[in-house]
Amino acid sequence: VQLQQQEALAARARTLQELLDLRDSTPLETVAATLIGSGASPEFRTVTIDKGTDQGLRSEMAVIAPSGVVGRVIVPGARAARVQLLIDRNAAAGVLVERSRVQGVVVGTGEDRLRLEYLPGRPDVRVGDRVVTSGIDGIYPKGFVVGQIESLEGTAGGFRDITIRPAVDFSRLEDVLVVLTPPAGADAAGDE
Amino acid sequence: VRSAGVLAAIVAALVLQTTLASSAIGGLAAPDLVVVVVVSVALVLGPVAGMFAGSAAGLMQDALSSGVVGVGGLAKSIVGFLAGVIGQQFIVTALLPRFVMFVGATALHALVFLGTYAVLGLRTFDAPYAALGTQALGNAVIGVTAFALAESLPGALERRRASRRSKRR
Repeated sequence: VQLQQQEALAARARTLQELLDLRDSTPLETVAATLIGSGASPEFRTVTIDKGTDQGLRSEMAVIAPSGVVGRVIVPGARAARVQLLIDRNAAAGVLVERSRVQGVVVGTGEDRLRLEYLPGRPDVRVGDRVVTSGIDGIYPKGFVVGQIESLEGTAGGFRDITIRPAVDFSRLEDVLVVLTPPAGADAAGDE
Repeated sequence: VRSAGVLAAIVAALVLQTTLASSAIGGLAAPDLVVVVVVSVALVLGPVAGMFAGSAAGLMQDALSSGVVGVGGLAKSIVGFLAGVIGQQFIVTALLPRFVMFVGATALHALVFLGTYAVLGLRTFDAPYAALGTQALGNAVIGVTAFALAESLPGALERRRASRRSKRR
């Protein structure tokens, strides 16, 4: 039992170290938060974190983890906030394919995969390409990993269905960082 | 006392839903424990109690999720009422009818809930049949097991008391 406890503590320490490394490596102002609950309804992919407006959180703030983008704050309370995961059906983020710099939008499917949409006619994308945030949506800062292209289903005119495996394992999420600094161009996006 | 019991069951289901059920299986495939409680209340107490329990539970679930408040309440009210009516009209005390009842109730709930979102143009759900099938089976297994436990508990306690009494003599 003691060995198991030690292993659990070591795993927790590793997770927190990764979070600390991420916080130190990014120039953005962030606040660390712990997941305290998941969504009340299976139809929506949300989680609750233990930080709220008292710690400076507001709606539409990006939530990230060491492995990639998690989602955005949708309902901030005083000491807790609800976060919409990127895999929720209503979630979306502006992205670009890292290798070819092709821009598009990833949308949640409600399950454990994402779909890449709104690409130009014949996009230069391949299975295994890494997809990162483009920063144009005014929520997610540029350059954070979203996932990897897992499959391409094509037609003669281009790709019909591009599936992305998220970089974050949402079933094992424990600690996250909430980005307090709005991304460049967020004000402009908000004004529109 | 009954109302307090129903409220306690709904709150317990919501607590378990936000802590266990969704993290065990992600997405629509996760069991909806609130539907299980609403159907159970409807089968035990009848259609009116089922409808009120469904309405209250659905509204609470809506408030705790990121959806439109009222859609879940509407779906669960209908499910609670119809489950209560069927429970009064037919004998659903055996294992298989109850199992079918939970599966049917989950399917109806999904139809009303997802259908309302689709009709209002708030969300689209691309053929989530496999996930809904998993959810329906999960709800049915949990519901039937909970019923069996709830029914066997008073008898088990009585047998235990009786055996203690006989030992003292």
